[in-house]
Amino acid sequence: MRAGSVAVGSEAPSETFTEFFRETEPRLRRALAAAVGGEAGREAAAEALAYGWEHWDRVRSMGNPAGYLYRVGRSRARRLRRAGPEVLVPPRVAEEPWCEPGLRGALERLSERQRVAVMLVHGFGYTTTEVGDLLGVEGGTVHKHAARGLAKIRAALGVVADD
Amino acid sequence: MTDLRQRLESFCEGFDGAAPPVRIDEVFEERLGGEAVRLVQPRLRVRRPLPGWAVAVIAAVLVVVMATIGFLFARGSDGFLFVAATPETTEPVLLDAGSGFDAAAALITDDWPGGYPERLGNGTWITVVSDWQAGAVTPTTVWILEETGRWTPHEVAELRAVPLDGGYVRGGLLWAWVFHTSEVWNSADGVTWRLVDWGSAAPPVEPPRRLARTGETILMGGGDGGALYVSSDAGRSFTASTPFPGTLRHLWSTGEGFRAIVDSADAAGTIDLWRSGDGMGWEEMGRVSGLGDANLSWRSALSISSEALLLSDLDGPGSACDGDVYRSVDGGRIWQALDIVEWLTDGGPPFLQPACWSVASADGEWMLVGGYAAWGPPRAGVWGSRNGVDWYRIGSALAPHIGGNPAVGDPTAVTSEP
Repeated sequence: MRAGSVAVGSEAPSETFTEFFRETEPRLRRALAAAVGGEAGREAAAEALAYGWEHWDRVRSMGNPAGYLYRVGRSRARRLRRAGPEVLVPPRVAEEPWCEPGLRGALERLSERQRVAVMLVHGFGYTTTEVGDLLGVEGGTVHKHAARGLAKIRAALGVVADD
Repeated sequence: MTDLRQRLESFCEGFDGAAPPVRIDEVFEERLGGEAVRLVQPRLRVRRPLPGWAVAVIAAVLVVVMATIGFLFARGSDGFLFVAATPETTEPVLLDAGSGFDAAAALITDDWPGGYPERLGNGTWITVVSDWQAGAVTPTTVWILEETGRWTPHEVAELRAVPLDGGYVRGGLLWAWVFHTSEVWNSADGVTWRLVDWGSAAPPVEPPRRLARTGETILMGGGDGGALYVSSDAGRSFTASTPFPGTLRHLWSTGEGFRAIVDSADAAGTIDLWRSGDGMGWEEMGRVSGLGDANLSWRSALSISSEALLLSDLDGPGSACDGDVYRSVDGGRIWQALDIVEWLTDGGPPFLQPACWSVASADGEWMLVGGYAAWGPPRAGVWGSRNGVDWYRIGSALAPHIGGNPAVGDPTAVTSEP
């Protein structure tokens, strides 16, 4: 229990939190996983969602609760990263038949912002506005990061612009 | 599978499988002790409201105290400049006339149109702050601190000149970098700007650019190829230097020479420290430790002496506040994370709003701004330090949602970041 907070009882997850959880969890987990790696990102997302429920009265009144929990998760991921072995990048999937050889390495070499933007926008199909809400930036900024990230990937893989 | 997006979709599909969904019962049962215990902040109960005269007295005392705190920002002729705005009231609340003007008279009051102020430069004779309206592509107005001690707005004729990346005062001119166009401008008065024409000597350095200066020598590097260009005439011409073997992560001046942090060519994820006297010949000094991953969006390396540095890893205004401040006392070889965000929040949740914290240095002193009192960080305010570890409060967050950036008169390193 955190200092300054008082446990006043137990209750089941409210319908509003359950709804929020269902809508937010995939985007939050994928963004954090893209930022810090699959394992650490999933752990950070779970921590952030737990934090969200603990402080649900305050969190739900915020203008952008999903974005706030991304900050919480990003902070937790930083602590996890320092406490244990680093899991900073997407897992090794190069041996999988569906995976483009070299794509993982190209994604690793992007900045964190570019990697999150590229994976969420072009990999998972979220809009730049949806990603921007999560990252706390304008959609245009996400577009810029995604475009620069794609350009770097193309250069790394030696492919021409095809989209 | 020829389309890059199809390849990315396939990758992310597999990636999703490696990080499976978080179940809601997992959150409650495994992380909250099997109970859906919700923590609720205790409510403050006021038994009896204060009488009106007491409220008025307290308000008057607060006004006096707040005005007094404003004086505490003065830091000499080339000292700090700090401007803050409150989105709710759209009024800048405080600043430091670091150029020697009376800080009290320099308070912006009458015509400030709102939006976040973005500092351009602060020197011994000119202080310019651009008005960067939220959502605007470029600022349209610069505010100049006149000799009368009043801030006055000036419309900028050439909008391209107003940078989003800040600048510094050098050689009687205000220099500014414009990230989006890769241009460099300078101005004698902050209103009329001149595009610096480097002609064929223009350094083809891709953002994020790293810049450092010692005397008349200016280094500009960046891009994945480790490109580096050197000017020995204060930026009028540049000569290509031997590129670094990896991505140039940061570049700074020690006062006598330069140092650089560069991705190692022989081991992925590791960083090497390089040093140079003139910017042309470089010597590798060995591996850097303590900086974690190599994808930091480093904004500025702030020298306090030739050996002690503060490396600020933060996202700029308009972005969220990840990152940290790293300290080195051995010239950049070993770095220590200071956990600034956790310290500012005393272990609480991080900030969400832009410009939640930033750092600047002047006269051997570092300045840390961690604002946004509305989020309740216990240590919101303005802090000073001479070693990066011991911090003392030199100002408070005077209003909710304080945002702003510190600027210094003559920084030893200026960088830009997308």
